[in-house]
Amino acid sequence: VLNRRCVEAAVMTGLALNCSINKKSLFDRKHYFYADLPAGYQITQQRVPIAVNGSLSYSFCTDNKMSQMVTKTVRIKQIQLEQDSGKSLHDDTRSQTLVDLNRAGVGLMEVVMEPDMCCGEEAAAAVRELQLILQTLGSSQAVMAEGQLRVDANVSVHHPGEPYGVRTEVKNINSIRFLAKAVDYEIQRQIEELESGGTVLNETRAFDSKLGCTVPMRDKEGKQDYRFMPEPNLPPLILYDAKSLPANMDHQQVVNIDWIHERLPDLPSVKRAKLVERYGILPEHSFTLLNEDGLAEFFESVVKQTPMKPKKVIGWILNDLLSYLKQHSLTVKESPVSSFLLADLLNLLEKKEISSTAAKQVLAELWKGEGKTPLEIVKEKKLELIQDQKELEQICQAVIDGQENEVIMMVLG
Amino acid sequence: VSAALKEGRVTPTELCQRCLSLVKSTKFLNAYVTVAEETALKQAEESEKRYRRGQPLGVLDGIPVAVKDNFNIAGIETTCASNMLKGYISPYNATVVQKLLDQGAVLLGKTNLDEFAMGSGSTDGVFGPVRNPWSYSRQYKEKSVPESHSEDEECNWVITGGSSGGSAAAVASFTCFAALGSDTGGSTRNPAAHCGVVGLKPTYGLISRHGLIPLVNSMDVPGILTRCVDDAAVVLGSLAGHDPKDSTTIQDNFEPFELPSLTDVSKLSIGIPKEYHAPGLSSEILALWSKAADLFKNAGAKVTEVSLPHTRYSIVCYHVLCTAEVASNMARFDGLEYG
Repeated sequence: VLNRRCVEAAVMTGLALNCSINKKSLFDRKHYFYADLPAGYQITQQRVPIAVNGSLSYSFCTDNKMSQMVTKTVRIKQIQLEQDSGKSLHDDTRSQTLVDLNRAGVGLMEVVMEPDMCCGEEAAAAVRELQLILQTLGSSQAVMAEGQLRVDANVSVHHPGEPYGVRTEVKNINSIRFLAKAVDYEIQRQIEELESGGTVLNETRAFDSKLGCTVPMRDKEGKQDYRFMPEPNLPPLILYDAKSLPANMDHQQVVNIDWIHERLPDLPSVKRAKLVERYGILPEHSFTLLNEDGLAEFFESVVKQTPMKPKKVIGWILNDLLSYLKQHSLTVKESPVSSFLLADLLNLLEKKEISSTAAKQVLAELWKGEGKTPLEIVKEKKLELIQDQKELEQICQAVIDGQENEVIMMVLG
Repeated sequence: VSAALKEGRVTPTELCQRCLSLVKSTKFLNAYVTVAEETALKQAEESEKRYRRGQPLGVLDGIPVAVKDNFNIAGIETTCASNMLKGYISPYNATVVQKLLDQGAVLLGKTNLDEFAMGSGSTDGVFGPVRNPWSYSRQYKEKSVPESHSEDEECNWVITGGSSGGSAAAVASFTCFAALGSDTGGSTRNPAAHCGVVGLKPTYGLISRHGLIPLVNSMDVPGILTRCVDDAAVVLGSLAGHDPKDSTTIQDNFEPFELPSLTDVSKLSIGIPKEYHAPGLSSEILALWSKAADLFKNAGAKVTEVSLPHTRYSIVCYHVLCTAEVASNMARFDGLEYG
């Protein structure tokens, strides 16, 4: 029996990726024997998938300083629904493989991209954007380390103007960083192979994250005959839109594409544009804000609580707060400095009660998470800016009085 | 018998016990794989309580039934007459089984079949072949040439047809009042014909296949075997209808019906497909077929010849589809899961 939520998630994702949704899609069985596939076949959509011909826009920086952002597009070939297999855990020390079947049969959405990307960085940026979109839609939590988002990279090299070369498939990539590394390594390996007169085999390789290279995977010889067969237990999946919906159809029983379309949340690209427009921050900043889970909300919350200009606030968020979080490997949620505290601090700065150097010191104190307010810390450490002119003169005079020799030397030249 | 139960002329437990003892005494038929004596008696007891309160669940309340061993029943071993499923105790009830139980039927046990319902003789299961009760009838004994060896008594029996042979034999030998079979390419109708009982193959999509271990997903249906046509209609009425657990059941509402007693056939139009007069049809069958047609004609019905031109392709298509689906469905029985 088909899982309704899977269909809805696939339609949402298809719409977010500008795909055409196939109103009628079919299910097939893909047969192969493997211990982690208990039924001996996997239900997938080989003939007519649920969504086709979309596009994904992504941006990345051409240098490390976040000043040059390039936007590119990758075409989405199709999105298909299929079943997951179990998980094989290879225990090489004891020469055994354990099979975990808890995952078997769970619904999967496979997004197939066209080979429009040319290096690891682009691939990583595209996948990152896809990850953000999926998380925004709620289709998936898309955490690669937990296997919620799995990426198989297909890499090939060719001279410009010539047809595409033989491709290899790289599996076992557990993070976006490793994706970039794996793709770049594979590109290099293939180039070296071809330049030394060898050929690239159409094979499946695994990425070894420890060694940073790809190695051939065992037992995948030649092309497999998957004996595709229409799935007899699942009738064709019919989706409706407002035009094609029959009048007497029960709303609960069908999936209405237009209904889903109306309820799509703001996609990351839209969110970023809104942030730039509303707060006047730079586009690169909006990327960083969205890239960190919860950071955009934190930023907006601080902005609400302080009259300081967002353009200044963003500096504190991205330079100070974010670097603290990264240093201590914390997420925004785990930050000991809440938006309230930071806003408090920035207010002091705005009112010119402290200098920005002092503010940084206060932040360092706040970071310890001892529960003190910024004001308390300022008073404790006597970091207040002295506003009183007379007091300042007195201090200066005291300094000069105490350093007679230096003063004489300065006056003399 | 349902009326008898209602009027109290016989109690469900008595009925159950009689059927169970009949099962034991007809053991040589090898119709049953598993006899669920304890649970059957318990179900009979429950049924009796309901009758005493005057609240039977329906016509099927207290009626002993048997179920072919490729339907899942919770807590009872389901083998499909195969060693691949030896020791497999299902954790759930097939939808049709659940419907029978909800009507108060008493489940006597699981009946024998061809292994995984692949066969048309009920001879290929690991528990051995099922013997046709008619092998022991006077007519058969008179027909067969007496070799006058007493050992021949043992081997001189006829098959029940298949693959639901156990169910057919169970019904024909009066051990139960209705039995569930399955029909993919005739597996209910075939044994019904061989054993002289009524076999009904419902239209695909009418009855849920959830819990029926699949052979050919696009052609399997649960089949009904009974001793008379009205009984079959009653059972169909309680089993048919949409099942959310089976996506291939049709959504429309099903209204159980009662067969009208047919006295006037003049408004009936019967077609005889000419392609069914296949080469190799025995003269005995042809004679019976013509006799049946004549019966209707003489009673005033319109009997005409019709043509079903694709008939000769049907067996070829069946083979292609069947083998593909069977290969797919059997891939999971690798001995690692299920028993």
